[in-house]
Amino acid sequence: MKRLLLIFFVFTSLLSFSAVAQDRTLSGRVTSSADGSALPGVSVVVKGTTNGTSTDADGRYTLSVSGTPVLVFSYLGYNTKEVTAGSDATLNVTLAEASRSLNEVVVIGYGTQERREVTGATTQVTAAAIENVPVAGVDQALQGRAAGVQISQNSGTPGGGVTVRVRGSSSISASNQPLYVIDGVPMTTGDYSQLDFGGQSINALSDLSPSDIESMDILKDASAAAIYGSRAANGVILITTKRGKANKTTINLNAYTGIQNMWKKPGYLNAEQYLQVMREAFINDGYLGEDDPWTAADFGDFYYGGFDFDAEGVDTDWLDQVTVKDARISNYELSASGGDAKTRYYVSGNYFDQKGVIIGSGYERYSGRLNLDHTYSDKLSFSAGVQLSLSENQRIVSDNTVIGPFANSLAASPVFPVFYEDGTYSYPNYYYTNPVAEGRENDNESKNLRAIGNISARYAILPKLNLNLKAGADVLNLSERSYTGDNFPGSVGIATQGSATKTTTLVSKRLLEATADYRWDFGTNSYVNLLAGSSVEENDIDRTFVTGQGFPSERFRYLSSATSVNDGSNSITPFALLSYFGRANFNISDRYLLGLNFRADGSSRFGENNRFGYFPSVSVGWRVLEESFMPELASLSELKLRASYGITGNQEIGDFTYLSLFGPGSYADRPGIAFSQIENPDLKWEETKQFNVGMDLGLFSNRVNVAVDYYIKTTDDLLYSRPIPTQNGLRSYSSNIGSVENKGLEFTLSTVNFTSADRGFTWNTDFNLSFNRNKVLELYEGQDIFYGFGGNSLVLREGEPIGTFYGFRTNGIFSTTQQVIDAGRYVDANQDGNIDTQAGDVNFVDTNGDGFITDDDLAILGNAQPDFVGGLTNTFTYKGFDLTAFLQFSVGNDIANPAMQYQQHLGVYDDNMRDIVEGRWKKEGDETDIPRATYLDENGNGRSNQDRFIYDGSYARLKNLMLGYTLPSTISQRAKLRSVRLFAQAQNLITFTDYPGFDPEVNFAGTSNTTIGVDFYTFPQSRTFTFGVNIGL
Amino acid sequence: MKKRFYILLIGAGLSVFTACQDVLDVDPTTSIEYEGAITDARSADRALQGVYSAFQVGDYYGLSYLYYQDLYTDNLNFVGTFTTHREVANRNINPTNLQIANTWAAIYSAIGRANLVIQDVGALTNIPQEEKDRIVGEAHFLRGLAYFDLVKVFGGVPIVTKPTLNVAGIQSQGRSSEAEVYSQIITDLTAAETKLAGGNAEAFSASELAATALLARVYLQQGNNAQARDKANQVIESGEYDLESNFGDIFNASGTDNASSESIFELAFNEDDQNALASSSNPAVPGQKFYVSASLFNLLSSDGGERFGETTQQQGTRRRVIKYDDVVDGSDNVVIIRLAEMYLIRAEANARLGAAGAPPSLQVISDINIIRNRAGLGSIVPISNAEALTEILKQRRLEFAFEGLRFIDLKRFGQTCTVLNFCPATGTTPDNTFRNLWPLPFQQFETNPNLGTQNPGY
Repeated sequence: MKRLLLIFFVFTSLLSFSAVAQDRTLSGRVTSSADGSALPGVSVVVKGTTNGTSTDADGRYTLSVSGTPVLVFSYLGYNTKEVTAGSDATLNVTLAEASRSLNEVVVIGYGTQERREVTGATTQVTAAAIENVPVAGVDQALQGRAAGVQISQNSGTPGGGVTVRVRGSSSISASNQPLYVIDGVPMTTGDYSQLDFGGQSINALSDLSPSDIESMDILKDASAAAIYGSRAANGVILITTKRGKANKTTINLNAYTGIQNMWKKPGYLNAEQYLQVMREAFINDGYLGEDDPWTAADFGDFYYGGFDFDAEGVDTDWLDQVTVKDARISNYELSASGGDAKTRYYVSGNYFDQKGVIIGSGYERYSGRLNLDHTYSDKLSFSAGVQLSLSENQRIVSDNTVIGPFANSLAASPVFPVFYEDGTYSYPNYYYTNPVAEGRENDNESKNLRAIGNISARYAILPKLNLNLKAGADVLNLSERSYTGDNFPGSVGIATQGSATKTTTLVSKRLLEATADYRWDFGTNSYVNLLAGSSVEENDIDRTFVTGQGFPSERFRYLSSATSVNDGSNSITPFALLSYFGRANFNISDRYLLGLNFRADGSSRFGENNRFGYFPSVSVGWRVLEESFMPELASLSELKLRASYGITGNQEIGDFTYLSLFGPGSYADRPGIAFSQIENPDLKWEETKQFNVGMDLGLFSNRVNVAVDYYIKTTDDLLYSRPIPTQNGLRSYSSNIGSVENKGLEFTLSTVNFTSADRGFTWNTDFNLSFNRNKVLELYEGQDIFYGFGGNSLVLREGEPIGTFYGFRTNGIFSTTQQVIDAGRYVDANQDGNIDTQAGDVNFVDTNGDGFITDDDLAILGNAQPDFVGGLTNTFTYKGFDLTAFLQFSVGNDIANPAMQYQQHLGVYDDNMRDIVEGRWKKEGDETDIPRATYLDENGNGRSNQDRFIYDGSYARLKNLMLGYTLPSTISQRAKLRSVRLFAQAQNLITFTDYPGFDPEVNFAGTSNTTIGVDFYTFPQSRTFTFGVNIGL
Repeated sequence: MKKRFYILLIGAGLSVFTACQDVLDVDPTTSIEYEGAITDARSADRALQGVYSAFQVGDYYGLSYLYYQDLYTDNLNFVGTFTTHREVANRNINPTNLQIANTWAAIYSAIGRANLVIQDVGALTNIPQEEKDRIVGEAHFLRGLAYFDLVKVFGGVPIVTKPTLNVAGIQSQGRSSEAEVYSQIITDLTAAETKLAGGNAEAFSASELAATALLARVYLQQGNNAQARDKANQVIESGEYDLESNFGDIFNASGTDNASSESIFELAFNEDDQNALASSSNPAVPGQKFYVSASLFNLLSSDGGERFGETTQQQGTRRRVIKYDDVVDGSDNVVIIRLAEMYLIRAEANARLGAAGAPPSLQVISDINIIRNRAGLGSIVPISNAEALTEILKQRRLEFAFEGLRFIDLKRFGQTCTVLNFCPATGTTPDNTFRNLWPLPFQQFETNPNLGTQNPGY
């Protein structure tokens, strides 16, 4: 390697040009046309030659020239300008900032490119789109903004997990989340909680304040992403934070505050309706006569052996009891940026506070960032960026649980009061504890201290050969504390007289990286950019927890008061990555573009036979617009065709999964070891091959921009816990087997519909639409993999997409007994004296026609993959007013709600039910799609895996509507303010959906790869109204 | 100075390029590699404790397998939402039942660990023969116990006696016959008897007499009454064990230091190594619940003597299991074989060896009454062996409720039709006898094409 590099450096040195004699000196200053500020680092080149320089910190340049040459001034983010030098010794130039133009700078791995030169499929989302949006995390802010990126919030949990899929799901058991890189440092993402809170995870990405972000660039195809090698298969999101510019200090104060409420409250039964359903169930099964008295107390006697309270007149709306009305959300941030030619800075502070709409939940974040850039000399510059944040999360157990405030509030029956007459909490059901008590009496807090930073130096060895060194770190310290009280009946803390847990998780990432880049210009507008680099990344996850029990009372909640500290643990998981990478970008006459990327990743996670993975990619672009055969159409401002092919990997295959291992296996107080894993030295990354073709079209001076991309993405060597006959003593081993395909079409359109010179009416539209078709191509020996509720409510099957729902098909409700007899189901197979299927029962489809409804009749019922998703943003301005409407939609996806087996149990359990059951079958001949009430439910009407509980999850949502007003500068300047803008905003204002649950944007299993689109008592999103102000000094 | 700085910078840059591949060699911190894990007497014993650990899991003696013996029969009811438990309670187990699959895997996990100990410790040359015999002998006992646990509910199963260490070594034997499995069990237990001969007899780990006692149970189930009688007799006569005078004292043990005097082999649990037996029957704690059936509750109440109050307890409308009652720490030990069973095995074997109509021998009567008297019940004198057997089955139900014996008892006594409705076909009802065996896990047929045929009826 060393020798190779030496050759590389020698070679590049030889390519550098010796200076050509010049005869006069030209100097001048380059400033921004917008505010007249100096532009440092502008490239000034005599057209057609390599004679050039760049401006100094004050925007000044000096160049030796001969004659009256044409000078080309180019600067990232500004329109390139060609000026013919006169005979004057001075040439001052102003550059206009490029907006929506081809010269827009996009961030690519280890560098930047101008939009016009990009040959891969990338999408950029800029600060403007995400500023002031009342969400905790940047991933939430990205939702619906970029084609090919499907983002769904799993729940309304404050600070909770978000599912991000770039071009579909490519993995079954490794990760499907993209790689996030902030200012060149890969970020730690995911959920490091050691406590179980049901399905909802926390999200390490929400530690970033969205307002610190300048832009996010999403690398979607292999050519763009391959430089991140074994972590790029799910796409890469490059986050660039704001930096100071060499101009007068600007100070921005942004603040908003508002309220959140559940946007929808589905109907549940009241006490009378509830008792009636239960009564019917017992009558239908013969436990109760038609004339038996049936008050709440009678029900209590019958069902619970008596109530220990006066049930007369009790009718509790439990959901109301756990809902917080008008929960506050607030955000305050202050930033200052500026500097001079030598040193530039950006500094910011942020406080974000979101209360949950369910009691006991909330999220707060304090964060600060400092970005510094220093130009030591024209050869050497330094930068540093550091962010510190502290987030505090009040969590509640959610989703698949019997002890969560929200889940229990849906399950608790209305015949119980919240409190007994003596003021103690009631115990509203057999399986579920008091939701109000669960929300109020338990503590679940996590504190996350996060430091992300990088320092880098850039040194120009030769005029166009730079050496860059970077060191980065991302350290996350998650500290959690939970306490479960014993002061309410049924609490899990009762047996232990209260229990508490304290955990600490330290996740640290250290990165050291060196790159060299070289630019060689040749011919007219032709050059090649070369990059070579290497990096070492080391990671540790250090987990500790300790639990205690036996607390004197619920007023003692910390471990120091525990009578016994009964459990604890500590473990460290290290992993490391060693990488070499390179890139060559050719631009010939601004017409033909070629990009080559390569990365070699060595990972401690790969088996001995596959220590290094190699990830190449190639991309080509053809700017047809520049061809001479293209007619000079005034309306056409860009026409580019792109194609790319490459290989990326996914190394989220777990640590040490290739080794044969002994783990701990103690027997009571005797320490022991147990064989825990068989060896697979061939284990390696998942490999994604992606082909992409695309076209960029610009019309009417880029007032209309269209980008279309088509891709085929095949992921092979899927990490899979390959089942082995369990008679081997273990169930499976980690292996690379199987493949998944994603094919899709992405369409982005942005138009400037109206412009106005003098603050008149303007209207811009951004629209994106993505179609992705996901398909499992190959599984181990073609075997289906069943999972989900009951073990078989979801299936992975060759030819079907990930997230395929599986279960019993139904064909309505038997209206009459005769229909049951005709169907041959009027039997009593278990001889208990009850006919198994009766009028009013669900007519399950006997798929295989054997006369019985068994597991053999299970069939595919739908899937969670949408046909298409997209977003539409319209921005209007008029005078000082601005209005932004952002609509986001997902069409064709199904949602499974297995919790409906409890929420529509019709007598089987003692949960409360949805008002849907009011339409149930009541008497012979009723035509309905809701079955009869029955306690025995011998027909299995309530089974969770049936198509009655699978719903169309399509929705369109007016995600964000913002109206702003900027005060005329005459007024604001009178108050010595640069600018003042007031705004009002509504989040999730209107949702169009047929989904009968709380929210169609749902996933109970957090960020699971394969369990998607399942609602199981999931914390719903809220509708938020905020008011805010942006003040510039 | 400046130049030197630049050189330093470039040097630092180059050093990243040449970073050594050593950074990739990281070792796990919570596990150790198989190579070099078992090297001496100490590590061999650690591996042996790992075999015991496999029996403690919730899929096995820690909850499901143990309670299912009573849930599938007439001793326990289920209240909760899990379809896996519900299918067992309804005696209508689907081959896709995940708990059955997990339990199967858990039992084979114990077998796999025992196989590894038998092979690797057996191959060690640097430890004393006596120590090696102890470790290997205990592993044989545990493997025999695990195979018996398989054969009694699944019938013939694959016999695996070598450990699987790597991908190349994955085994996929087919089902052996029931007789072959019994033969393997007897081979293992006999080997355990031999290797453990003369060792100590503490109840928390396998001993010579534990192997003898288990052999008595196995022979009895097999119908080999003479051998069953002899083995039971050998344990009783050894004098190592005494019946507790107070029935409740049998189940007080927790951890590895206070077994009852009648316990021959029990699994130890403590607060760091818990089971869910107590909390799964306590209505004060949320979760899936197993409650005592009305029929067992009433029988215990009327005929159980002192055992009633030590076995179950009415709590509100629920009937709790209180043989296991440590809800706080989940550290009730699970008694697997105890002396009382030896008396009843000897009685049953003797009664079966005699003619059904003939009066039972005095020893049969005395063995039954030893158990009755200890429970505070008066002596009885059955008039025939058949009547004695009826009394033995009843006493076994009362004595060993929730100790995992009910299902094999009903099978051995041919009572599954009358009690569990597992009856042959009649003109109007289909054959139900197939439910005397559980289905083999559906998934195993997919992963192991050699496995053979599913139990008929499923």
